[in-house]
Amino acid sequence: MIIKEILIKNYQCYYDDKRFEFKKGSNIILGRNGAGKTKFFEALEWLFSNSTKDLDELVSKKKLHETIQGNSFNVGVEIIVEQAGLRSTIKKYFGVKKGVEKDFTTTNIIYEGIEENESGERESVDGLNLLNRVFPGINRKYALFKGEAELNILNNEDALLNLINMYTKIKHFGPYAEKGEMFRKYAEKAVDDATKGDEKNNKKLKTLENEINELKRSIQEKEIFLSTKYDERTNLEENINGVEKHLENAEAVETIKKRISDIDDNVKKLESKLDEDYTISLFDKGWFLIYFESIQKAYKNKIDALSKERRQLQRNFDTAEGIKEGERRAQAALFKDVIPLPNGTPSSSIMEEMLKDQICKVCNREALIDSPPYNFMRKRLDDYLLSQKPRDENDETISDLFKSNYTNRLVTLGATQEDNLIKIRTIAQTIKELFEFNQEIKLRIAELRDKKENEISDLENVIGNSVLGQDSLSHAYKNYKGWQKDLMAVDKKIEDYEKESSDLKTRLKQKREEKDSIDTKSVSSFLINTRTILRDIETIFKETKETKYDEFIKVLEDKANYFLKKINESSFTGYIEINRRYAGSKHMVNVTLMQEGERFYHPNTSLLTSMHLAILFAIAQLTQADKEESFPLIFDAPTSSFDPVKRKYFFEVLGNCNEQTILLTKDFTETDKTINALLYSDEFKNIKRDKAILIKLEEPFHPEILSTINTELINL
Amino acid sequence: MENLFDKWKTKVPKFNEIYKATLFDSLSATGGGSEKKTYNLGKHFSNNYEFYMYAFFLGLYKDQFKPMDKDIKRADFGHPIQFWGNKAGRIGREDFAYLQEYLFSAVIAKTDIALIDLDKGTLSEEDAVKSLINTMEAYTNGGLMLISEKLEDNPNHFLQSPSFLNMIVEKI
Repeated sequence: MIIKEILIKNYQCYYDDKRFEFKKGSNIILGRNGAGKTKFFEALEWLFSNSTKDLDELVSKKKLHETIQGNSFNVGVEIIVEQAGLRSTIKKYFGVKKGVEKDFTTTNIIYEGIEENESGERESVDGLNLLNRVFPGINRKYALFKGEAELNILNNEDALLNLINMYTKIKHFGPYAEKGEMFRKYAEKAVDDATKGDEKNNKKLKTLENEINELKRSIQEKEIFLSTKYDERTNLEENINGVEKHLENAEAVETIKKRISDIDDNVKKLESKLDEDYTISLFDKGWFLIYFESIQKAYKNKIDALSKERRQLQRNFDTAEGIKEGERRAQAALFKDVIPLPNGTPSSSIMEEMLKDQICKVCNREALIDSPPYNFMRKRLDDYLLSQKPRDENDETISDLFKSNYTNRLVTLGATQEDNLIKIRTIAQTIKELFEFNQEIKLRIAELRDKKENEISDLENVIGNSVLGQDSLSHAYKNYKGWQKDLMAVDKKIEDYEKESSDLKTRLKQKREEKDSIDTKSVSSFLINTRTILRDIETIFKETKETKYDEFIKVLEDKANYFLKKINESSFTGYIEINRRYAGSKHMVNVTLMQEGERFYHPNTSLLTSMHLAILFAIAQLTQADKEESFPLIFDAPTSSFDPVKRKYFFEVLGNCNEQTILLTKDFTETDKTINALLYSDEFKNIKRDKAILIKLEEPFHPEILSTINTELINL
Repeated sequence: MENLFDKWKTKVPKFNEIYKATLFDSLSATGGGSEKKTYNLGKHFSNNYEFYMYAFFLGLYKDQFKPMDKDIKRADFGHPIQFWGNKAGRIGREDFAYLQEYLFSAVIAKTDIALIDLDKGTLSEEDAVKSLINTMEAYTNGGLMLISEKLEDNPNHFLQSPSFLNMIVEKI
């Protein structure tokens, strides 16, 4: 069957009648983004589907805008196909009646079919019936492909059955197997019925039957579990494999991140050791006093002089005033011109200590009780103690030369500060040491920061070498460990299930044999022999079916690999492996890209796309061989990921196909800015094709107003 | 026993008002907040009196005795010397009230007064203290002038943490 024409009428961007004429081989529709390629594809999908919904959205806004209120027009898609030289037309459309302003109403969908008979007469037939006859649903399933994602047609549960059903040469093996099973069941039932006639065996037989059924159920359950676990394992392996190529990076990222975090910790520790509160230390640690010694010395000199002067004045005064007391006289005589030490020097506590020990610790000589030195010390202490008593205003013995004694406090202050000199002298050294300490810490911090810079640049390199970002790598690393664990667990489960399943099968076999032995004893040999024959027949039918299916899969695989090589000429392809597998009662197909006996994980998109295309071409070719008839393949942008080289090979394959192909693509188009015209590229001149149509939006149009949009066709 | 120190420390010394905005307000903080926070705000001194003490010691060590002219407008921060350095309860700081005695002995050493007259009663305590405060103000003024000059040369001079210490420590 080939599509001769497609007429799109007032359907979205297709205003009025737009007629596409196609040839038998490869047909290419070129158009930029937004030109109407996808709308063309969707129009076909709409024609082939039973969809009757959302009709309002299908109406050409331009047509609606231009239609006068109260007038009507049709919206729809019409396809003219040719099969065995006879033409059929299938139309799907609905009417639209314009209301006030943008309002409009739509009629129901109408299917129309026009069939040409061998004598060339055309007659009206049911459109849907005609469609299903000329282009069966099962074949339509493998005819329209939108984008690259939809090309993976074998990735569903019914894929194998659908495939098998397309091919008459293998499809008929299915019913044989079913019949074989049915005959065997009848034979078994006949044997069972006969056995049950025997009262004695009946009970035993029933128990065995129950056990057999239970075992069958358990086996089936295990098979389902197993199938789930196989899937789980495949997914885990895929995940692990996907991460493995990043794993080295992921591990490196983790290590470097740990090192950076260690550096940060060390820097923090060192920073906390830094003591740079220099200004505060001037106060809190008394560093202000660093140069105070000279001031202190000046102060002391001044106060010492003051104290001396005061005592001198006092002495002079005392002499001048006359000595009022015997002791004072004696003292004056003793010291003559020498100025005595101030009262309270040494301090009272020291004086008391010296008197107690009877030693003058100033001159380091004995001062035994009642000896002159002892009495001298005793008197000085008494004088001091007397001076500390409150002054009696009436006491005539007190001198009035000095009205106050500020000096004494100043002397004491000087003495205290002198004691502190030792501390003051260490300040400069303390500051120097702290500076050196801080300097060293800073140096170490700077070294660590340099190290961190290097680590960061290492990290960037590692991340730069990976397609994954830092977070994804860390994530991958964590996942990887989890997946490895899961994989081990799944493998263990699979082993367990396989063993359990095998045990169950052995037990089932035993039970069956047990049942057969009862049967043999109690039923006539004719029934038993018949059952044996029918069992064998069932086995033969089933095995034949399995073998035929496998052969078919093998042919499909070979053909797919042939096309894979063709599309990917002179580049790496690997090879396609197609396997059947059972998931419970379901037959499924696994399509895997392999290399050197191992699964090739994560092929790039273009390789994956070409693999799916190869399978499609293989199916199309098998269909043709089987039915001596082919169906068109219609692709919307299947080669987005292909580079020009691969594109060339792909179109070569397409051009050599016996099937009719209609391909929509944005490739090969370019705009000549000087004349503002849409052209096709030089690359396209070398592309093998039987027909090419360029579609583009009719100029002028308003980019924001849909009612100005109309796709026009240019046959190239 | 009479005590000049006790009298002296009840006083609030003054400074040239022009330095209030240019130096005191920009370099020292008044009010709440931890000492660290204060420092982070760019305030090197957590109190006006700290800055005053700094200026005094700087003037003293650099021998910058610069009495203020009589007509100069003066300012103070109303904090008598006796409360300077009383850091009890301030987190992260030590008490340095004992430095009051050093300030005192420095101004005694540098003030030309007849202390003997004080004992004799011919010089009043008030006059003696006034002289001492004048000395203190003169050295502080000298210190403030030095700091002001530094800032005029380079407004960022004090951004480095050791710069205030350096100014004290460096030889003339």
